[in-house]
Amino acid sequence: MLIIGIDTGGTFTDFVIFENGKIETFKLLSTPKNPEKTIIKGLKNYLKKDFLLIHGTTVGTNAFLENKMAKTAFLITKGFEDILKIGRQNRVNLFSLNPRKPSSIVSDKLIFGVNERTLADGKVLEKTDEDEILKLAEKLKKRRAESIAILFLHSYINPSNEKAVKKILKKNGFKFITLSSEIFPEYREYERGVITVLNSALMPVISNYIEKIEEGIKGKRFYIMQSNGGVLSPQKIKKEPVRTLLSGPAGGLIASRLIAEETGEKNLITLDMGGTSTDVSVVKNGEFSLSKERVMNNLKIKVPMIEIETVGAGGGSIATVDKAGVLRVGPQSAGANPGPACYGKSEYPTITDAFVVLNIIDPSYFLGGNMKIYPERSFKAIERIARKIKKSVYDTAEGIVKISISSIERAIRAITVEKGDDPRFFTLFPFGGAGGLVAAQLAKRLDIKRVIIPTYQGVFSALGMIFSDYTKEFSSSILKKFSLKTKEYIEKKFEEITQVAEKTLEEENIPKAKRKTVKLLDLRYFGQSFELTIPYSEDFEEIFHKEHEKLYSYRLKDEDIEIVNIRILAKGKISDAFYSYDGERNLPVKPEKRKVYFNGEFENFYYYKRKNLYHGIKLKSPAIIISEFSTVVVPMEFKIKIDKFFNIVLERK
Amino acid sequence: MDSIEVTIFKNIFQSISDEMGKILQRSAFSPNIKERNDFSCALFTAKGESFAFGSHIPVHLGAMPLSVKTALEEVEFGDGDTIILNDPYRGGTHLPDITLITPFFYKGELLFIVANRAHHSDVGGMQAGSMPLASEIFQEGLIIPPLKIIKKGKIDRGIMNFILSNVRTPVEREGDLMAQIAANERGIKRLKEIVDKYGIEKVKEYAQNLINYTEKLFKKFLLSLPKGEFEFEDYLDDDGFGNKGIKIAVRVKNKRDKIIFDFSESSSQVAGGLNANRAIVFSAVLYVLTTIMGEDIPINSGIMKPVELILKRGSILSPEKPSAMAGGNVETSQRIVDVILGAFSKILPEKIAAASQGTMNNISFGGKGYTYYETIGGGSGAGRGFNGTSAVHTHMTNSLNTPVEAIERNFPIIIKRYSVRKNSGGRGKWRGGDGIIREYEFLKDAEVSVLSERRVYSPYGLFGGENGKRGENILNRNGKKIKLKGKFNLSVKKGDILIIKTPGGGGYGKKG
Repeated sequence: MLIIGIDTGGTFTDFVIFENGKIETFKLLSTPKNPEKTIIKGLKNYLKKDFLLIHGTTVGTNAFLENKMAKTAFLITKGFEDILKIGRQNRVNLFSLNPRKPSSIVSDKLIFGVNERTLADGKVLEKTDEDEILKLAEKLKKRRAESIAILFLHSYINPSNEKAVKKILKKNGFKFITLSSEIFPEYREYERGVITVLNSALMPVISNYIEKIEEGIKGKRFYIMQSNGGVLSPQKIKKEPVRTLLSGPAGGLIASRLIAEETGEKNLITLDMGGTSTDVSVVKNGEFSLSKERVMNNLKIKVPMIEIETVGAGGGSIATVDKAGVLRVGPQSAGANPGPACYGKSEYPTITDAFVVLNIIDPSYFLGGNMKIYPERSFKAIERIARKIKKSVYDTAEGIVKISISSIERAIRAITVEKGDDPRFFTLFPFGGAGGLVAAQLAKRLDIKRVIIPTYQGVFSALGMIFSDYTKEFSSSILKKFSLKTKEYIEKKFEEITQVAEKTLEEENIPKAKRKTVKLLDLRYFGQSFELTIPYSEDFEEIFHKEHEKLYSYRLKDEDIEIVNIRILAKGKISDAFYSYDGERNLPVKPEKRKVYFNGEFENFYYYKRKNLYHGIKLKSPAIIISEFSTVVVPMEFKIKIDKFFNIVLERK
Repeated sequence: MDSIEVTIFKNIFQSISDEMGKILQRSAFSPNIKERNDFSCALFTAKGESFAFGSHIPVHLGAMPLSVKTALEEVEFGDGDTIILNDPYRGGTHLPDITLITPFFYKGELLFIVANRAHHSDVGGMQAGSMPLASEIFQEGLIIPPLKIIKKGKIDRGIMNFILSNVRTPVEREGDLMAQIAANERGIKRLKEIVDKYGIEKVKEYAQNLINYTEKLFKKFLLSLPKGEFEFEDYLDDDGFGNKGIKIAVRVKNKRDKIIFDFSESSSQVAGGLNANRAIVFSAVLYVLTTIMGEDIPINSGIMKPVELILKRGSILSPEKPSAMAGGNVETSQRIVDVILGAFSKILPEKIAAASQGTMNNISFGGKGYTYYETIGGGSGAGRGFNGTSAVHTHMTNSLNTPVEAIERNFPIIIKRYSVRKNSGGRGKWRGGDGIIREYEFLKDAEVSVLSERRVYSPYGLFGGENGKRGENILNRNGKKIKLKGKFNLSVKKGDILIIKTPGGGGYGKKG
């Protein structure tokens, strides 16, 4: 059976096909208005065969970021209609007389207070009234609500009121309903509300999209990537679309983890430098880290997502000179459209233009020669900046590069220090179009010894898709202090959830031998407002104390522990893809030479085409290595190797 | 000053202050530091001028350099020493804010100083949380003058134990102090790496360049303002001890190469803890200047150089010891911002917004075995081209609310209502933001204290915009509504409902 990974990006849709131990890749231009069109076009030649499709989609992300979601109604405990508007009462911009808050997503006309109340201990103080809900259903129809989000206080502990309302609304023909107690059964009403509303608002959009793909692939097996790096069936994603918000980038991290495993490099700092920004992430001891929340569009979204630190420095970041005559780079970006000056549609001097001026980017081989760029426009744009700071056009271009490197360096330090790590003990792992341009210089600044630029970096996320596992998380709010009685209670609860998890895996046709469930606990000391997630075991309290001490340098007593949530991570292996490698081929290469402006002077760099390079070949630095998707800069201080997986490996001499 | 290197060094130095902050946040004990980010970290030259600043708290901005300056003047320190202080009369702001200052010596020379300040959730005194309605600073908590808490790399256990013996939560305090020590250590370590890499002269030069760069940008901004004098005054309701209508007045004199803020017409010091000091006034001034410049400017001492403050001794902004100061930082600081903005509205009508709620609505309650403290947001003022924002914290604070579900789980309280206070924003061409209504039903008897402002004097509107509605504090007892003052201590009974309505923001421009 074929295994196909597809990642839809803004410009290209990437395809990775695994068949009989071989990996093939290609790219097609994306059709942003109907992303499924490109997918179905790319799959046309494979439809006669049996395949398993794993897909990373940005349909949900884009609908959210562009605010093109469904018209959603919000049903909330009476007296609390404004909680989305109030949020956490803080502002996003500290220094502004026009304080902004995250958007509340739902329009005022579609917010309805419902007479009902559950207390913190789960006791129902007031039940919902059927007549009231029926009247409400009429109103919802009149106001043309496409989907409905329901959030009642303390429903994480007792969902009965939420469920009662859902039942009535279902009967009355509403198809898309999200209960806060189903999507995120944890306390903190605002955060739960955000997820509930977002999920509802995405349901019609994602359902429609998935149905079109299903139609196109005619009953083949099909999974969708979630933000946490695991996949779910389309049926589940239709119910929980909020889980796809970071679907695309997740694939890149799975691929990174895979390469970490294959090459024995267990600790990686990944660097995905694109057009508008750079994403930095960490793979530690062979695992990428997940965060419990992420801020997108200023909204804090509490869904497990791969942990990424984003800096506003990408190929399209614009250089400016401020009133004090100082050069700045970004955060404004020319994006892909109009793009850098050299694309021919703007006059913005960008990081990409700087690399063109330095003669590091080869204008005749941009995207493998498939895209025409105009180097003279780069010169003009950078020259304008150079005049303002009274430097040569070359020194200015190099300054732009150095400034962007220093801001990425700052992000890398932030993400590693936060976890108590030292970047020097990591390998830098750039992918995405522009990562190779800055990686070696960044490594030098961070005192990192080794850089690996992976083979399939142009389709890296799609590559990750074919190696991914089915992953579904089940959780339940406990909120009890530690005691032997609580321990028994948890065990019982775990049994209950395990049954639900096993049933789900059964429904997904994952054979018993390929299943794996992991039990987790969210614990904290009573009174704290953040939790640590600890694997469940007999002596979990001790493990928690130790972990807490390691991170925060103190521990308290057993009875101070509060069990906040229990979670089950149900995993199923769905793909049999593996990563193969070629033997050594000692073919001689004769590199060309290329005059590049580097460290304040023109220097001759060896100029290699990546497609001519094999494991075992001897390469010389300083060098530029180009492929269709990227350019790699190798300063004098680095040795170059091609490893057996065709990765380019740079090592400090 | 190289126009490229200055940006690179800005990133390097800011990365160090970021890193100090991450260490502090990661290893601190208290939620106030870990979750509400109530701390700041900064780097200083040997002269005590800051050149990199990492903060989420505007009120720390101007205050940190004054702490470092006091430490430099009062303590003779050497390599391996760290100084601690919180005394508002010697470099502090209010007692809960504790600052740690560590010099960086390199080959025997004092090159730089690193410092951090964090808000501790208790420093002793008459009331848990150390934010009481008091009439003397001695009641507010332990006063720490500049002292060496670390001598030649060794923690002085005597001093540490002395501090810990005077607070309610010693374990948490020690943890937070250790985190502050670790943050400074990290700052020193990273500075050493940078100096090893680039050399003493270059690093010193760029620290100074960064300050000059900010000063240059700031002076360009001053030049863009009209020359002349403009003034404004506004009032605090009362100090909780019978002093009413406490005036805060400013006269701003823009001389182009410098700008003078003269507060000498403000009221005399008061009995209740609304007194502020130079550090707080400085912070408010810098907050306003940074905000109206509206430009991404590296924040450091460069912005302070052309600024001169005139405060009258014995006034509410420069009180004599032992005046109480707990509320100066949280309430008076907001009114200082209001008057500075009001003054600027006369020369920058298009840039300045009407008054925001102008209070933090400090609510605390406690009963058997628990105490709780929170602040409530309100409306922000409207400006030209935009309506105010509703239900938000403004100006000198930005702390989060506590979820209803969290409060109800932890305390014998039900929140009956948490909503936007409709139509409380001042009307006008652009409307002020609305305040908040929060209703607490007590399930058991409890003690409540409230420290709130703008219950008498409204947040002002500008250019024909109406004032925002004043806040209201109400007790509903057996269905009877009793109006409460702005500042009070009260014993509530089971079944009582406390209703807090926070002020709206002022409107901007005439309607119609």
